Amino acid sequence: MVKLTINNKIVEAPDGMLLTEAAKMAGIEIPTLCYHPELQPYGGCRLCLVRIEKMPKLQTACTTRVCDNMVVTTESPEIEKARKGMLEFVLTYHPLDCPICDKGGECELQNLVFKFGSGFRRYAEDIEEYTIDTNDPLIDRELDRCVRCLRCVRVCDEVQGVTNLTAYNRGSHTEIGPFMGGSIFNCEYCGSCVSICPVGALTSKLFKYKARPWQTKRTETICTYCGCGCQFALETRNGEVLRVVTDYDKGVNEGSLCTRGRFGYSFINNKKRLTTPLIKTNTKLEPTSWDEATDIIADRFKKIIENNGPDAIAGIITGHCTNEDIYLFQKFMRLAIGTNNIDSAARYGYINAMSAIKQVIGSKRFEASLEDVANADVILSICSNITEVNPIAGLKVRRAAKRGAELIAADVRDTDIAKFAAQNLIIKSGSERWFIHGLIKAVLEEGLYDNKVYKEHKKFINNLNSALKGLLFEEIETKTGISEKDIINAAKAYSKAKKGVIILGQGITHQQDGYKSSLNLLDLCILTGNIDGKGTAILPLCDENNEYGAIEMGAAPEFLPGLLNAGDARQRDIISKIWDKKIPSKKGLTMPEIFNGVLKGKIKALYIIGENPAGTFPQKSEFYEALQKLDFLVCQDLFPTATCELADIVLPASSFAEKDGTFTNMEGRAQKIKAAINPVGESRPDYQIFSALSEKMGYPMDYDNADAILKEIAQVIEGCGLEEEKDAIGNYVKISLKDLKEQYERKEEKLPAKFPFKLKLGPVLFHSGKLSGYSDGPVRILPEGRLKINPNDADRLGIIEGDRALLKNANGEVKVKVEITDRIPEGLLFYPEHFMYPAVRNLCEIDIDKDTKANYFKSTFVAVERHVPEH
Amino acid sequence: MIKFLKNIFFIDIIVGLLLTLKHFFMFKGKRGVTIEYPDEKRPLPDGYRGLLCLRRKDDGSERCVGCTLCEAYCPSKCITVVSAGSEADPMKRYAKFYQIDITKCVFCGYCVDACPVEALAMTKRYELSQYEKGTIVMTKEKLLEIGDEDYPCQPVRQTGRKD
Repeated sequence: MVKLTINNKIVEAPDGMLLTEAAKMAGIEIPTLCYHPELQPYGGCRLCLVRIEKMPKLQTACTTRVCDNMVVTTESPEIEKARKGMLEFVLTYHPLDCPICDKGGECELQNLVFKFGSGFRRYAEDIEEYTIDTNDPLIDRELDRCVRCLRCVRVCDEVQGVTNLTAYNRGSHTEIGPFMGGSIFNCEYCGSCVSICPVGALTSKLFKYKARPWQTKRTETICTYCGCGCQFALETRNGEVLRVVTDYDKGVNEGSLCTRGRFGYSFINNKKRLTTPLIKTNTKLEPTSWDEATDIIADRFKKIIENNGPDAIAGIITGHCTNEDIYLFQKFMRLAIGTNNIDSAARYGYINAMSAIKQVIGSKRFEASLEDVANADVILSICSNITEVNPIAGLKVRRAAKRGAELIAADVRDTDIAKFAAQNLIIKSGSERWFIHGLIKAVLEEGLYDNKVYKEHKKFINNLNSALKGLLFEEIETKTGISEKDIINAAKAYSKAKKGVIILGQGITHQQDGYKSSLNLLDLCILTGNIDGKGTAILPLCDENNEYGAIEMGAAPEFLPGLLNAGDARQRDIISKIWDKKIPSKKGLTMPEIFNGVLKGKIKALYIIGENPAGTFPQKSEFYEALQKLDFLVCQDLFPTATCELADIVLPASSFAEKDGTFTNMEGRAQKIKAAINPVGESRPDYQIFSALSEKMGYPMDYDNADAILKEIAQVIEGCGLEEEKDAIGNYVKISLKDLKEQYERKEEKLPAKFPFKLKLGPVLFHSGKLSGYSDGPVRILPEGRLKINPNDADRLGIIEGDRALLKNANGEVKVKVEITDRIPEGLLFYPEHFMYPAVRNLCEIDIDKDTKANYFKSTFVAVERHVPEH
Repeated sequence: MIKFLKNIFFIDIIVGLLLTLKHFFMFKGKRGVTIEYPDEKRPLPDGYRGLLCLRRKDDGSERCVGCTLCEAYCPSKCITVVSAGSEADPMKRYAKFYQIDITKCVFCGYCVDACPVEALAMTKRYELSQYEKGTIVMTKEKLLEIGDEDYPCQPVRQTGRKD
């Protein structure tokens, strides 16, 4: 701490703090324009001039660091004159078109001139012409308004690590634009530049001229797209969400957002939203009243329970619902209906990681937080594609790597974080397990394990040794394409880490043996001692924002709220006592079992909330067939999806902007969301729908609001908190050699000769699920999917950029547009999973995990040829 | 004595009533005070704050750019503006929806002061009584119509940017 005097006031500040920050701490305001707390000092606008004793001239406060006995004056006639002069310089070229400018009302320059400047311009010459460019799909550039603070350029480089923006024509005619020139930004479209611009030089096209900041209502809430759980505020007016804004010091995201977070909000007010309950009459859906719809649902459910028993009904809920919704839904299914047949979107793969973590660590929350990632010294990212799945988590990885952390990126294709990686390993698709086992083998053979672990769990290490005996590095090299040296290097780097974090991507969890692979990686954590919970752990990536919450709230047949085991009578009793009604003891069905049950005639009715199996499952699959075989299908969604068309009754639900509740992000942090607008049309928050239904089913669950449900959840979780296993890892390592050998089985993937390409469907940066397709922003950037293909493959097939390719396999054929990129290895194809048409998903087959019954339908083998258009 | 006589003959009252009588017989005309409203109207001073209107530029386009400063400044919150980018030229800002609720308006003229493009102006119209309140909620079309009648086109003050 140092002591300095600012305006005759003695101020104590930490050493090395900037003068502007120290003054702000003391409550003294120094005007700034180019300074931003998130960015490095720059000193470009020179508005923060102050007088420091014993310095010859006025100094810029935003670049001067405090030191002992400094005497600073921030207000004097001399400084005032200098400020006025500097403001006049800034205004030389700045057009005074504040009435039109979109920034009017929240413009920092406007405020400064109002406070300190004269608002008068002596410069009377012609104003130079500057670029006004509105060709970009999302960001308008009006550079006559630019004040050259370069905040946008700096945030793009320092915070986002994209370095897409740059200042060109430097000098009196400095302009800001994309580094590669042209008018299209063609970047990650995080929108940080728009949000950080102090004036109206960079503005969002979606918000353009819609409202003034004083007209809007601001509601702090949480993003609904991915598992990061970014905090932002919705600005609304007259029931319409106008834009998304962030504060740099709030939430896990610290003011950063991705495209879908910042520009993907317009699905909330999309005209296609369901506004009334619909009922099927003569194969057509017609509007009806809530009363009638809920009456019919309750009647049909009751009849089915009477005739076929409660286990003939099943429910599936999306991971986009709040904890309160999910909790109430599983309570509705378990108590009002009386069945454990309940599952969530986590079954698409996230449950693999969660089950593995629960198996090894017990039921307590034990994942790396995003802060751990940012503070880690070694990050091992396995098949994560983190930037595209969880962009803000990707940002933390970038930040860590920039800070000097060693990043080991292993993936089947070249990903965004690869350029920050110390070791970038591209493994062959289908050989992920060989790579993981290689890492463990390297740790064992090189003796890289933690000494403490060796002493405590000697038998476990011996067992592991014998489980991996048959595996040779030569075999790993031929399978994965990565040399022994590289694997040992990666293992060495990870094992010597003080704060090592493993990022477990969907490339592992969302494919066959995801559960086993997760366990293997946890073994690696245990071996190297990177599992003490103090900044070292494993972070599974989460596609939908509340998949964690879905599992924790008990929307899975094997789990009760609080991750209690549904198969354990004693644990069931704990919850039953709180609920005052007995939980059915019969084992529930998982998602694939539910659909198989439908085919076998065991399941008669299905209640689907927010999921769209008809739109995601391949059309030729049995699951798709099952949907048509159902006696009674209730669909509860925001939009009329393909599944809604098959439904007997469709209920309109409210989006996250219209309800209260909590979301749990992928690090286990529960965060509150608040209603920003009234429900659109007649739609209702999901928990109210469950309440209404439960009353008609004869088991009333009446809550005043979402907070009342949260209180009950807290009660339940507290009740089961005592059930945490004390020494879960100690119990886990007692695993027998036979079981361990089973965990380390590797299954070879055979490439069929007829279909030589592996096609993978996956998420891309600009979209998330099918929801972003209803938002204007993401659609403007990426309106359609493109098949990514390696240039060598494309050459061989005679395909050039912009061509259409014909994908063929036993399930059918699809025509898709092609994008040639060397970021994808030969033999692999990638297609975004977000688009309904062309229906590439129909080529895939459903693959069911043996351990957790997770269902995968995101990869297949195809043959590719150039599509010749018929004339 | 005189005071006593004046008191018993009501002289003061008669003198007073004579003035009344004089005015009673004074007819409409040059020396008259009564204005026969509504046949006859009082001449209004310049700067009279009557009904508001919206003005046009010389080329017939609207002056209003939808900056919503009038809405922000209005003390009785009677103005509602929804701005938007024009379809033809997305860089052009205009008021998609403009409404003044005259039932709430206090005719203070702050909005006219606030208007940076001289689009709002006050007319000398004051006969605003209606049988239905709804008819004096002035929409943009009505306001422009009044502006066209009362303010034939005049040159506009320059804003910063050259158009």
